[in-house]
Amino acid sequence: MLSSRFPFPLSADIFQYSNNLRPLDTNVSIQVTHEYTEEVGLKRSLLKQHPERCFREEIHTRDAQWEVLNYVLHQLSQVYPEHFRLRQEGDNWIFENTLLGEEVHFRDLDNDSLSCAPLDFAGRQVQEDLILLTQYDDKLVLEAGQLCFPGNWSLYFDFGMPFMDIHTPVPGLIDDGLAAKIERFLMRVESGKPWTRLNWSLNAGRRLDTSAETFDEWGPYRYRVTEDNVGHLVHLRVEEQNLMRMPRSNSLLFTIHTYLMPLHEITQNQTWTNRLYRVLCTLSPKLVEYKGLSAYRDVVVEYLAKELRVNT
Amino acid sequence: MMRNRTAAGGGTRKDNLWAFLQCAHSLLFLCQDGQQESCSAVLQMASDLQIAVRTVTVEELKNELGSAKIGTRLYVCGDYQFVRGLENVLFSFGITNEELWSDVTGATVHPVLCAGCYHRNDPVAGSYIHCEMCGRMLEVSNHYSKKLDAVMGYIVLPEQLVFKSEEPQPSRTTPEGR
Ligand code: HEM
Ligand SMILES: [Zn+2]
Repeated sequence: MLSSRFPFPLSADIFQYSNNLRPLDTNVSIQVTHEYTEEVGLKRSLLKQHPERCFREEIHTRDAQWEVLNYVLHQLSQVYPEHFRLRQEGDNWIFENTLLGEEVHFRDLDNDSLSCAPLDFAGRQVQEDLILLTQYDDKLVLEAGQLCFPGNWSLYFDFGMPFMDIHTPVPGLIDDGLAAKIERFLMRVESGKPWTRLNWSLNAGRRLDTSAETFDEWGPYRYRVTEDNVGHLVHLRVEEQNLMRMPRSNSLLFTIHTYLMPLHEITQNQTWTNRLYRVLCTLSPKLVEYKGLSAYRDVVVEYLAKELRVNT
Repeated sequence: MMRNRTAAGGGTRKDNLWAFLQCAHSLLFLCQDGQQESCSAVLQMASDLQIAVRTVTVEELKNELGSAKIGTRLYVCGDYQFVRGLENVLFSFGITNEELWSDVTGATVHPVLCAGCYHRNDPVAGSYIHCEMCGRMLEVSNHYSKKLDAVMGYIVLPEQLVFKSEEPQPSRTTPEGR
């Protein structure tokens, strides 16, 4: 049986950006949930329809990509042995994905033995988006990635960018010196000691692929939130992000698993409702705007307040 | 926030500026040093409409805000950082989009990548453009990609312009941000 999972992201009544990385003690960096088949199916169809949007690579990252592929397949087979199996026969690796009824044979580091780039292949087995950063003397650079479920950004645009430039759109992160601190921290991440953090926003609509490219498809729902539909239309969107060092190539793997939960389900939990209510009431105007909440935050706050009154 | 009325109205830029100035009794005029040439058209228009124009510095403008009369309009012009920074100050003072016209000059030295169709639009001045390829309205940001030598042009929805003009907020595109 696959699990349901929803990591609630707010740990205090006030939200500010911070270096909220924590050690990933479980060492489980890939989560397989009961939405697996649906979400992996969606990823594959997005990759097929929009390859430029969903996958980018510098060709010199191929060795690092192989390292990621090995890492991901080992994770799957070790953490979920009932669903995934990996075994070696001579030079051949055999990966069995019983959830999708697939079996793949390939040879390590042999690009011709796979139907696509190794990072792309790894991403097609998991719900996570996979971003690979190469470490240079003084910076981390996004040099390969498979991204199907972005929170309003573009891999096509951010491809090739250093960590700092990637974060220019985030209010305050560069000017406060926080981004530079975080990058220095990341450059010292050691192999075998992964880190994790949660990132959150609200979504109007139940949609994982909220790319900057398709903003005109999903953005308008922000303006259709009403008192009557808010509980079902608006979702808390959580990105569980893990970071780990790939020792052979010294690159960093950044994984993003996106979860959506409609507000009417959030409000089943009094503590969560209260937290979200307080955070939304006090969120700085810049973050309200950046997270795209300007049009409907008030409706959400009203709704949560009402739910809290009903339940006390 | 709605800086470039061309974007909202659909009329020509000149018509919209004209409409903006017509509602003004007086105009506080603030232009970043060295950029004066670029706003001679505004001054000409104001003069045609017989609107009293006062040129102010940033400091003077901040002091004026408390005492500005109804019907006073603000015009600011300068490079990207200058205008975006000033807009944040003005909005925090409660100035609305109805009362403010800002022009970004010489800022967009970079081509603008359309988020919708990836077309690289030639550099133009202004905070909003229409993509030459797909026609989508784009907000020109300062999110810059060296690899593409372009800044990101974020898709703008018609709803955003209406909403923002009613309730100005510091935009996603703040100097601190993008
Ligand atoms: C190393 C891999 C990372 C990559 C590739 C990455 C990428 C991104 C991207 C693409 C965005 C969206 C920016 C936009 O609007 O265009 C973002 C937002 C953000 N990132 Fe990162 N990031 C990484 C790591 C981190 C870490 C480790 C932290 C903090 C400890 C962090 C903090 C943030 C914050 C606070 C935001 C704003 C999110 C929001 O409010 O919705 N990032 N990141
Ligand atoms: Zn376009």
